[in-house]
Amino acid sequence: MGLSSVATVNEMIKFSIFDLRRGQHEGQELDKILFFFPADLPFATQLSVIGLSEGLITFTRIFSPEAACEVIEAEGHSHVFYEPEPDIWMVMIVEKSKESEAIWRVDALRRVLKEVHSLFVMFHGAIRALLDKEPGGGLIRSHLYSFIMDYLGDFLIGKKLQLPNFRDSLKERGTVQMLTVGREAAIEVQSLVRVLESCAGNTPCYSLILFQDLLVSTTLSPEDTINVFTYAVLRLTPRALSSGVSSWSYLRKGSVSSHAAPGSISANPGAVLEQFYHSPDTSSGGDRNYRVARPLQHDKWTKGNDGFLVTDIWNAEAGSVVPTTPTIWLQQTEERMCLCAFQHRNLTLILLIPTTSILNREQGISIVKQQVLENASLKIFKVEEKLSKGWGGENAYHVSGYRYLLVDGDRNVTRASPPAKVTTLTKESLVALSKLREEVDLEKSQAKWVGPNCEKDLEICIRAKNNAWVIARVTRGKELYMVLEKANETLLYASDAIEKFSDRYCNGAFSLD
Amino acid sequence: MEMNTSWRDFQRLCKLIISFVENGGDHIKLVRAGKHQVVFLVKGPVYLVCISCTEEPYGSLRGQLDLIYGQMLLILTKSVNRCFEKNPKFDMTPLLGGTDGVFSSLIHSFSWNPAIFLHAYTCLPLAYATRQAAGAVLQDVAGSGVLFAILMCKHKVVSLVGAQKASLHPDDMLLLSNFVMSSESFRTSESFSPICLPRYNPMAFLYAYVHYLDVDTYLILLTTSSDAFYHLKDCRIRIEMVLLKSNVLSEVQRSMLDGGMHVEDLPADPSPRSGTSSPHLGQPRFSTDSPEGFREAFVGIGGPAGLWHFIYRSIYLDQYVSSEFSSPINSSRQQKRLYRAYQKLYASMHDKSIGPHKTQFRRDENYVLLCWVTQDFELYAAFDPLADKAVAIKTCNQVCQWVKDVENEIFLLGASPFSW
Repeated sequence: MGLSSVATVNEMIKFSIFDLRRGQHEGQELDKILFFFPADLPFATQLSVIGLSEGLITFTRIFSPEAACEVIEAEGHSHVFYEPEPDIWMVMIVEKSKESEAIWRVDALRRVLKEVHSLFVMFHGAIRALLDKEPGGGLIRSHLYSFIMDYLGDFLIGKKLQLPNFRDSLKERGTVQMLTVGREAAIEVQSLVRVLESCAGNTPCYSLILFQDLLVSTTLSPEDTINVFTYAVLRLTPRALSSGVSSWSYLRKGSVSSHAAPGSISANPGAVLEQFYHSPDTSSGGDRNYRVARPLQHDKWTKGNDGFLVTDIWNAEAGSVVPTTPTIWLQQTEERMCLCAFQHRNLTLILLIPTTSILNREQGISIVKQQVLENASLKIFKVEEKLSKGWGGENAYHVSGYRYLLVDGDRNVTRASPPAKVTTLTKESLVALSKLREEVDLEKSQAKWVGPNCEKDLEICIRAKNNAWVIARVTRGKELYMVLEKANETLLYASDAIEKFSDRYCNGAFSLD
Repeated sequence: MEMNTSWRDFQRLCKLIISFVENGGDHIKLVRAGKHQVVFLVKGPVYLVCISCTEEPYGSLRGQLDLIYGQMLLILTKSVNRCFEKNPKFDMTPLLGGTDGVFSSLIHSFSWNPAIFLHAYTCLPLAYATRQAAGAVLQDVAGSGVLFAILMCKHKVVSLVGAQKASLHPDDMLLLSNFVMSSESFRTSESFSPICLPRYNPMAFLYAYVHYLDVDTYLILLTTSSDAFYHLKDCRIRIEMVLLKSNVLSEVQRSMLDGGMHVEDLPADPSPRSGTSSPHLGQPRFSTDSPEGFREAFVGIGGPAGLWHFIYRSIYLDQYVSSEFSSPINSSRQQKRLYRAYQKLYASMHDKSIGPHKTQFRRDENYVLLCWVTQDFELYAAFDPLADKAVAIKTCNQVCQWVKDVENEIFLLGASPFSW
């Protein structure tokens, strides 16, 4: 790796997290910075980036006090802003280039910021809470540095960070993908959930069940479901556990396999990033003296002989050499939960038990695991077999002739054409769709300012320069995006195709009658 | 807009932001915060900043700033940059003294004038012979020291002639007519004023002889000669005599009152019937043997199939025609809302990186909008939001045919070709 490639990536993406309440006195500006990527950028440059961001936040507050700065568009860069907690800001700066793949959609990039923050809070708690715990900033910086570098490692293709771009226009981060289950199987799953959650005794607990990378069942709140589901798909499901990424992964595959040459993905991308970009002297690099659990590290979960997934990720935090039960925070109830994961072939089951309900944690979890093995195993095998039999394979949700994304905004559920099918679309079609989605994002955002319950009803059909139809339909909290590249020339034909799709696969949600 | 910061401080902030980004090797375009957008445009030493919560697309706001800059150049020329080069603290405010009305009028037109985003001009509908008569007399004076001769009625062109293949950009026409119409002094007596046409030549002044022939109709004669007033006055007298004699001015006034294309007049049957004469605007169009079912649901409210309004642009001519407003697009609020919808549609179709698209159908709670962009023309049509798609497409075809049928009256044809 030469300096030139480092320089290239440095220019392409910058990512910062800063606290507006800190570093307000002259000479202490660096104290504002909680995280900065690339960490080896000179401090003066880091401060310059933060300074511009802070300046724009102050500037926009003059005339828009109720709504924070969202984006700066310049000729060469987009700056995407997100304020996850009061006065804690995340800013991502990406370079734009028409010739390369650097064509972005702001909302897609903002969802990356939302996701990394949500996952961070799930594992470590709020950023402000960690700052309050250790006002010097060393604790939060250590946590943020490890976590985000591990997170960004997933975007590494070779030596480049490949953030979501126009090729990901038929995806939506921050949603779950569900398995379609027949009535009989649904009843079996419900029964399994009851048995599973009873294994914790009288303690109320929660569960999440996945088949491959698809959600089957959840008893968590919608927000917690998204967070736990996201983590499971990233690190726990069979695909995530297998090394080499040879098998498919519904919706996640496209961002990795469509660009990577065989064998080019590092076994530990986070470490690669660290090696390239970490400078021990940076203020945002964190203090190595803090014991920080790194739940997003690759290859840290394995499946034991008994089917339970084990990890030593939380050992460091506990200062222990024996495996320590993972814990997460639930957003809705603000409870800390022990995470217990079991896997049988394609089925992954996650049980969440409140830490407060177990006196001796490791012993208590061991008892729960025993209960699962004794009482739930048979049901688990039965459900897995049933779901596997009914599974349509990698292209289960492919609809011939269509390339689509269906979003249920109320339930945060999406379904889309398999990534391998999406790659058949031309760049022009995908860029046109990306631009259309930007328009729809703006319309939705503007509708919110009319009233919190105001939902946009919208239909847009565009015949692009390359003759593809790019279509967006938004109605009653649901969205449908579609590209038709081989459609007949007329608008009526394209509309007819949408109506058929809507009637067959969306219960007529997008049909006009 | 209420702010707790003084305008001077706000300006300083804007300047700081622009410079900061430039020092980083980039150029700021837009900041978005909630429902507000801040658009920046840098033209040499001049910074233009717009803060908007009108939901207009970035491209539209940027285009508006460009026109404001163009209006400034019309008054000052680009030579004003030299003043900044000599003295960075130069204040050009005194040079723009008394022109508030000009800029206000231009900004107001950003809410209603399709020429702003189409970059085309529109003509007052007139019988072909009437416009020919006007054109002929303007042609007589063109070349005798007159660079351009323009006869306008409000913002619409009656006739337009350029000497020796000189071409006039529609943006220049827009800025010039705005300048004339928003300055009261032009109405009260004939005037001779230096002006600059930014697209024609941003560095130099031309001289405009302006005279109102009636309350709405005015003549502009442009020359490069600063001492041509008396010659142009003579030209004007000659032109005025001919226009009066050939009833052009009375025809212009009649057209102002009840001319134009009304969607209710859209022919139901597009094919020309044998034995009928060439179609004209204003003639009754419905025939007794037209299919009843075609228009029955919407007669009395807009045109056939729920057609409420359309704009047709001829690419080759750089002209557009816009139908007259009628129920339900009655009030200025509704007209403004429709205008904004057209703006969004235009911006969507003409995205610089991937456009132009070919067709767009857009439906929301307010309208069905249909847009076609071809090599020859662009059509923007607004319908009732419940309009049937197939029927709307058919209606748009009929609109295109209708425009073709009456093009002699709604466009300026056969004049000197304009190219820029």
